[in-house]
Amino acid sequence: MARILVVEDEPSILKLISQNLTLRGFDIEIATDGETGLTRAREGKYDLILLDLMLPVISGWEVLRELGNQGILDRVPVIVVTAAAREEDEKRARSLGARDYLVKPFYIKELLQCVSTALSSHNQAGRNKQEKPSRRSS
Amino acid sequence: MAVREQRHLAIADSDFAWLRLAIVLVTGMALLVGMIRVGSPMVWLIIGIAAVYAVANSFLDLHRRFRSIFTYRTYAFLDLLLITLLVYFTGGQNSPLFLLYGIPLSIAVLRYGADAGAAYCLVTTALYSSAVLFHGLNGTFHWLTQIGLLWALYLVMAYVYYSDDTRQDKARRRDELGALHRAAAAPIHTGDIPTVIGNILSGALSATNCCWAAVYLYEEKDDRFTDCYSLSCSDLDSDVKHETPWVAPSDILYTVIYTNSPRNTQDLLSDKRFQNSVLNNGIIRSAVIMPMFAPGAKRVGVFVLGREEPHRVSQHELRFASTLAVQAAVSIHTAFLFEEAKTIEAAKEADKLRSQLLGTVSHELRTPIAAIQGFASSLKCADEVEIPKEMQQDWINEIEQNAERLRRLVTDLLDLSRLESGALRMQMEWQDMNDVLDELAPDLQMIAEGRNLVVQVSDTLPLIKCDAERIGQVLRNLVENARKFSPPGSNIVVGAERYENGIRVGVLDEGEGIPPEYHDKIFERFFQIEGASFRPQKGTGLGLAICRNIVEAHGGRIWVESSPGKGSIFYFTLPVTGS
Repeated sequence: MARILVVEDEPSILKLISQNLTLRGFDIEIATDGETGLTRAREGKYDLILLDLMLPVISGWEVLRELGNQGILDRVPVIVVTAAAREEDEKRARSLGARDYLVKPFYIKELLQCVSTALSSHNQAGRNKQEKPSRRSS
Repeated sequence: MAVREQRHLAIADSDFAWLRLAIVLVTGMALLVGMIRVGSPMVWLIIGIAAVYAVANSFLDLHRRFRSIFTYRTYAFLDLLLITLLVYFTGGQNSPLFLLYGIPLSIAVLRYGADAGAAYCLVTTALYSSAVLFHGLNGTFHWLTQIGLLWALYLVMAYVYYSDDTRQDKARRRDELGALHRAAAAPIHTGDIPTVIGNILSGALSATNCCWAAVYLYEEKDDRFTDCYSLSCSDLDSDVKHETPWVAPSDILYTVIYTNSPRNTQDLLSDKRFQNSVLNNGIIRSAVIMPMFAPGAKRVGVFVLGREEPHRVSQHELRFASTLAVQAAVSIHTAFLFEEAKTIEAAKEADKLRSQLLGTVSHELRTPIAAIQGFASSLKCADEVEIPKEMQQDWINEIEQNAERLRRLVTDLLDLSRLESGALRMQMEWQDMNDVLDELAPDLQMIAEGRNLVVQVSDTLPLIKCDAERIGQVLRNLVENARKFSPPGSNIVVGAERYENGIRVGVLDEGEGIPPEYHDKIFERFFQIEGASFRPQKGTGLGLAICRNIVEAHGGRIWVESSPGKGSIFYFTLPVTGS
């Protein structure tokens, strides 16, 4: 089953996301500040990262930029889950490489929808990547 | 005799006095060296008169006090008479004191011009000739030679005077350029209107012989003069802004503004147009009034240059005054525009802050709502996925807690906005802080949950006027803050003591402390210490901002003393009398 990293500092929201995803069979790891989140993302193997933008130590923006710089965004899709509701925030996050942008508050179905979309498109992309070399070898 | 007054003087009044003293000294020296042998009591008498006379008009400043009697012409004649007497008694045409005539002659030319010098020479010739004739013609030098020498000296001095006149023209032009430059550059360095006008006025005074300069600002909208700025040469450092006198509609100032044409008067006391004018102020006798227009023919006001004495205004003076008025109008207009721009800038800044605050508030409100909506919608999914019973219960608790957090946030926001707008009035009553603390103690004990709360009071506390309810709110906030930032089992101490003209209440904790750079910022709303290793979970981010507002509404002050790792003490003061 897919492994998901949740980077979120609000305990209530962290609990909400992680418990719901665990119930649905996902393998969840958590980080409660930007720095830990970044270290986990760099070292662990995840299929998806859920990232808050307002984080202690290093902000979510910084984490997103670093993930992009280090090429992790190419392997792992990131969904930003944030209370920053302004359109320019979403545009900026997407331009930094976020796959999706979910504004708090949200219904749990919306989150699950985002997660499954991100995972399936990611798997699609992964399969495409694997197919390319095989075509070349034939 | 055309005595030139109000020129740019090559010799100042004080120099003139000193030169006069020089006459006496030279007289004395000459007598000592050569004439003592004459030994006539008459000579000594004349020397005495000369000394008294010169000292009197040099140092007692007679010519200022009795200007009407002691004109320079009187002095000049007295000087000549004195010298002539000396010449007569010391040898007539052979007397070396004849040379003394050169001194007043030089003064006359340099101070009053070549015309005055010529007149002086004529009178001298007449006096000297008669002195010589009375004394008898028996000298080595012919008296006509002496007179020839005198006129030669006059010619030299006149030449010096005229070349000096050119020099003075240059100096005047330089002064005028300087004044124009100051008027033009005034708004560059400062946008402050009184300073700009002050610069224009002092520039005008230094470039002309005027003793008083003023700017009356005109407001087109209300059709009236709003502000008066003036500067007098006797007090250049004084404030230029003055109480604006009421300007009658018939005042010549309005005539100048309406007709857009300058007015001037030789003597305003005898000029009907000035009879009821604010310019008839006892300071000036003659005046030039220039209208001031800004770009777009906007009426800015009038510019006035005045003198203490009656004076006929020359063409050159009029031209200069009008140029200066044009420049002054542009500069004052610029200063006004600059001030306006600053106001707009400030309004924009306030707008930006407001929208920033709105953004923060919306963000803070979204978080508890997200938890409530998220958990509630999760519970609704119970039919799709099995949720353990305890988890369901936990989620319901979460919903409740977040609803409570939302309620507190809204209450705090409302409190803060009412405090900041001044809508929340303090119910001031005389209180004994010991009683207030006693009453609060159980409440604080509960808030400090898990920490050891100690309340210390002092016996000598003065009664203070305060709103006990609001002070209780401050203390609850501070104790709650202390708990959030300190480990379980540590001490929290609340105490009050006498301080300056009131009391000081402190709340001490043994937590992680606050870096000095944040000691002010923590009292701002929604401020979070950046990079802090954890974030207080239940706070609204408004507690300390509310505390500060309440304390300041009491006329007190709130601050924190802390260093990282050593805990913090939050202090606030309350003056005895309240705000």
